[in-house]
Amino acid sequence: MSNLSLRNIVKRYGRTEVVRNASFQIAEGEFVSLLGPSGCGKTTILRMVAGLLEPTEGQIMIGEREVTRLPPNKRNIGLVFQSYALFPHMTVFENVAFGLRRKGESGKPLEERVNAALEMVRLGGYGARFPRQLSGGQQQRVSMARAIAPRPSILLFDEPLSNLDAKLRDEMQIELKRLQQELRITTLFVTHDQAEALSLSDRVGVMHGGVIQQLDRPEEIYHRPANAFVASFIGKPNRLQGRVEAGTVALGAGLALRPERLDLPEGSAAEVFLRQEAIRVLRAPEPGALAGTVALRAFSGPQVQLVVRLAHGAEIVVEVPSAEDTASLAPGEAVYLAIRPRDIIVLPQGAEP
Amino acid sequence: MSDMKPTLPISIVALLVVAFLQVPVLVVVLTSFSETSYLTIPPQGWTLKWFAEVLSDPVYLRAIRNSLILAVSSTLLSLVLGVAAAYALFRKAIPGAEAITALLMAPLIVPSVVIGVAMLQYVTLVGLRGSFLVLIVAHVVITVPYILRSALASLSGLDVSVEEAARVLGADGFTAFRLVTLPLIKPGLVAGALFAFVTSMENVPVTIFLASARQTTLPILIFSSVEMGVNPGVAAISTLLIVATVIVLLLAERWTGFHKFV
Repeated sequence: MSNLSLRNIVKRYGRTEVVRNASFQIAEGEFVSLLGPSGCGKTTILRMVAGLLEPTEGQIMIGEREVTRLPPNKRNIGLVFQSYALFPHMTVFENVAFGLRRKGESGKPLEERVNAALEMVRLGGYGARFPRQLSGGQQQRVSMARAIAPRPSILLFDEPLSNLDAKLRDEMQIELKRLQQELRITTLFVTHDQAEALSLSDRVGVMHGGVIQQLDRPEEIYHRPANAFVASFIGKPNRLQGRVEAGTVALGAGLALRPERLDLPEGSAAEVFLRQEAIRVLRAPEPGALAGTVALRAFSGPQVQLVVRLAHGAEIVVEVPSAEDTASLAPGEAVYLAIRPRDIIVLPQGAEP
Repeated sequence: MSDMKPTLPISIVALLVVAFLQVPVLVVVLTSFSETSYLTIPPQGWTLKWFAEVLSDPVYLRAIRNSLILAVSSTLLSLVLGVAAAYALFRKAIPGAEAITALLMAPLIVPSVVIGVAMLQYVTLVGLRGSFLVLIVAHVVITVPYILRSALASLSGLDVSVEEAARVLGADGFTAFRLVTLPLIKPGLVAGALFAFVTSMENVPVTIFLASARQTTLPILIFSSVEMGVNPGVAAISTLLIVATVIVLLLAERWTGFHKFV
């Protein structure tokens, strides 16, 4: 086990820069996710760490060892693929034994380590089967066992859960978290699923356009996004335009929000991000609440979505649990929206998409 | 559409066409057992003497030996070269990969006679005429497309990350190929190799320009014997060829289920 560090990594294809100057470090035993839409460069970074791609510029270190130009087989890493990538002509046992055999392991010790790895993913006794005889979830667990069996110094995951259906994905997420906590292997996890990234990781790096926009603890990413991209990518935010006036953000028509933190100069244009789930819907006014009328109501089972038109004309989408009294609000009714000052995210206007 | 059963008239027509196409083969097999020294249908009496005669004739035996050596060595060489070429063309970023593939596949389209004449001129020019090696090289040229085609098809059906997984788990490039990629494309390669073997085994137009008298192969010998009149000996050796081919195909099918790759 060791730490992983990337220094000024650049990857160019012709004139297109897929990864721009990425630098970060993953501490020993830490779980870091790279999160972003497809084409943001997250998988490219993972493949460069694995040695399946060579960076155009920069350095990759595993512990004290520079591995930038080393072939994948000299890096001692484990990689779990989205497609599982099991060897279809080998049994589960031989799949898991593959990495150990390459290290010269054989006989009884090999057998013990393979079985231990299979036990760890709860597939003890499946050794004699072939991958095609297993379900998708079981195949992905074999692929995890195969990756951890040789005790890699770094574990990489390339969208490992996105081929599974929703229910199985939740189960596997818990499995994965448990496994990583037991083993405490330095882990880099790549995904486009924010819930997955936030719930699994010690830190999350949000990527866009080949740049790591923010690398921080999940709570920080969620509550204190560094820029408009992160703010709009995480959660389901409403975006409002306003102007900084006397410690508040004035939205127009007398409406104003008073955030906990406001670092922008007086009079500057600001953009306010309000998460749907952070807005409380009230029938009666309350100091600081925004007044509006219900414009649209959509019932989706556990939740009711309300589109609220504010006094100055802008619309906000809010989610109300169906069990709440306010879930029965009908279009045309007056409504008040209360937002805690710490949930009001204010960023300078027009900086990012 | 695919689960619709063909109607009776279509089935009958199909059966008639298949029967018509197979009649010559049946005729050859039947006449090889005939006692007369000329071809007759139906055969007069039953005998194995033509088989005995052919299999004890040193000219035939040498031709069979030449053909086998030629077919085996050119197929093996084509396997090595064709698989290496397919791997490089498919997996690596080679400039002009499409053009190179087309060039290697060209012998399938260029008339064999043209290849034969061209090879003859070329080897005469470089002073290698009459060498058995030249014959092997010529057969590699005409058999490589079969290997290349089936290897390319097999590789394109393979998940690239499977080989990458092997690399990450500590296998160097060649080990990953040997332990993972090669076993997975093997059925396709067996199919390609069979085609290559049969192509080499039955080739006349290229071989006839390049083979010296001592290098006569079986199809050339049959070809020249027929010029002097068809006799049951030719029918007997043809029957042996048919039986051998059927046995090889059945074994290959059992071994690899290769029909999926043809």
